[in-house]
Amino acid sequence: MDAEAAATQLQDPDGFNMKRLVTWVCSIGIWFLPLIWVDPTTYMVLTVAGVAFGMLLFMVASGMTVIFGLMDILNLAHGALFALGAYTGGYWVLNLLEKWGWVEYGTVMQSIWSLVLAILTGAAAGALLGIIIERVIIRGVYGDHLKQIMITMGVLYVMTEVTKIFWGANPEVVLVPMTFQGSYDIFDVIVGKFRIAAIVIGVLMFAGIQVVLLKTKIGLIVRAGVENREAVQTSGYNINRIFTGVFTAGGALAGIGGTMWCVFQQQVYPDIGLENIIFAMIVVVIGGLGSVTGSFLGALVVGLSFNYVAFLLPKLALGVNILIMVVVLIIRPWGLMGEKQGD
Amino acid sequence: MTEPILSLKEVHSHMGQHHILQGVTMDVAAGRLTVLLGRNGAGKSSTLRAVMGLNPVTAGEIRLEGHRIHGLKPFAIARLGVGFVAEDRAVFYRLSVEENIRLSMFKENSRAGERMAMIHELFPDLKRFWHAKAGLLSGGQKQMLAIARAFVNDHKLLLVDEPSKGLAPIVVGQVGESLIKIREKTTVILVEQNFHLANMVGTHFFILDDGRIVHQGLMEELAERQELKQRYLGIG
Repeated sequence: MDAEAAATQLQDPDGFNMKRLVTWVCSIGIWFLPLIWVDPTTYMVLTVAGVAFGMLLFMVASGMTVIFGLMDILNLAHGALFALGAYTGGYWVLNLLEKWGWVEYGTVMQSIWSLVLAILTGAAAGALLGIIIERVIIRGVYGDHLKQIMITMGVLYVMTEVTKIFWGANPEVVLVPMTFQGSYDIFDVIVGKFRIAAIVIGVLMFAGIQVVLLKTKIGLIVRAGVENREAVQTSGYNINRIFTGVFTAGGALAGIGGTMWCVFQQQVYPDIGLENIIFAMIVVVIGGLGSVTGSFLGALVVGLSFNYVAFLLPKLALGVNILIMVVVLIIRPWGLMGEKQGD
Repeated sequence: MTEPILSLKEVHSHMGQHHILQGVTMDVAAGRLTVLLGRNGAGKSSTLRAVMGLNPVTAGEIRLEGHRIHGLKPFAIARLGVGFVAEDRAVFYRLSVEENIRLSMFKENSRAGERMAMIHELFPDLKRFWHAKAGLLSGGQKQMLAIARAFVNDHKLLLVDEPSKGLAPIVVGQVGESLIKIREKTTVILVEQNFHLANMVGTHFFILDDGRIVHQGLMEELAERQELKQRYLGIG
């Protein structure tokens, strides 16, 4: 491509495209279909709940897609990091703080601090286990997806059993800080308080990841490392240290996801990681492996469709999510925002 | 000869069962553009990669300004002041031209600013496509970006591997002109198959054959020695 052509392409990459316009109109219009069956108030309740559910799914999936996109590692042990975040942040810290009366009957500040401390603890636990898994297990299987799937799946099962040793095999109740209990009634639209917190934290996480990746030098190095590790090394950067950092950050994101998820569900159980890795994979595949923006959109798609369908046909909710994933894989195998291989 | 900036003594390198470098010994003086010549598979690129820490050194030693560098990781060697332009034009296609350059800058200070101004002067096309994705550049522009990436730091030594590969003759000429300007600022070791370019930019040469240095000298002398060119480079 000569320079002029390149410049033209940059200014106007695709030009007007009717197919693209129709795709966009259909993509947006489909979300208004439930209005045929439900009244607008119920639709709004379901939509807010769906967005909140989507943000929780994004928290689950974001770390997984970051680790895949930046390090080319399929990390199914992500479920173990998620579960550890749930048990340490959501269960252990909140129970500890409840002994001082901070959680279920605490003031607004105590409630906010309870949630913040739970999230930080979950993130730290996820990050710590992430470092250990990367150093001890993953480093030996870089570049081999099949081995990565096998060994990280093994880690997930082992960690699920280890969880039972520490916290028992039965589900445990997770406390919700006082300020986040109950709901608001906004023009007859019932909005759960914790759902608002989930939406705010999810959006902040997405923005934070984007800022780090697109606006900082470390983000630049990481993006470059995804493309060409050798060239990053010869540019003067220790790629192994950087990738350990990425894995740690991915672990922290999983830990945050686990904490928020178990507070939302108000319970935690040993299989929580195994169950949620399925949701994470659906979101990551729909969004496009490795794309944070794709995971954000994928999580919204899954969250909204799950809520709409669960209201109308409860037994089909998960099935519809899998159907969406299958349709995306058929039409656009690289996902909504993923990059087509070979381009 | 002045104190060498780079010194290789009896360097051996193996890749699997293949004995690639079989005792390379050479001293490269500062302030010159030294060309490594030889047929395909003679060990030219492997020598550069061994210096950069990308290929293993199984015996011998490599010193940069007297300090041992063999066994160090590539990023550590780069931080000691060695820039590397790989044979495959190692630019980051998904990053913009500006991001490619910023990534390579160790420090974003006034000195780097001067270098940046020089890059704009040396490679006007890069300035023109400053915010464009590097993947959209032409082959020649990508090569210039690869050289600019290595040149943006105050490197003591620049290793450039076959910059003319796959380029049109007119673009090869432009690359040559930029290398002539760069050699005034930095010591350069160039691996090159294109004898015309090597002769245009080189001050000194080493010829490699079967993983060993077999000849060395001034580039202007080599141009006159037909038997050497025919025997080791396959040109008459």
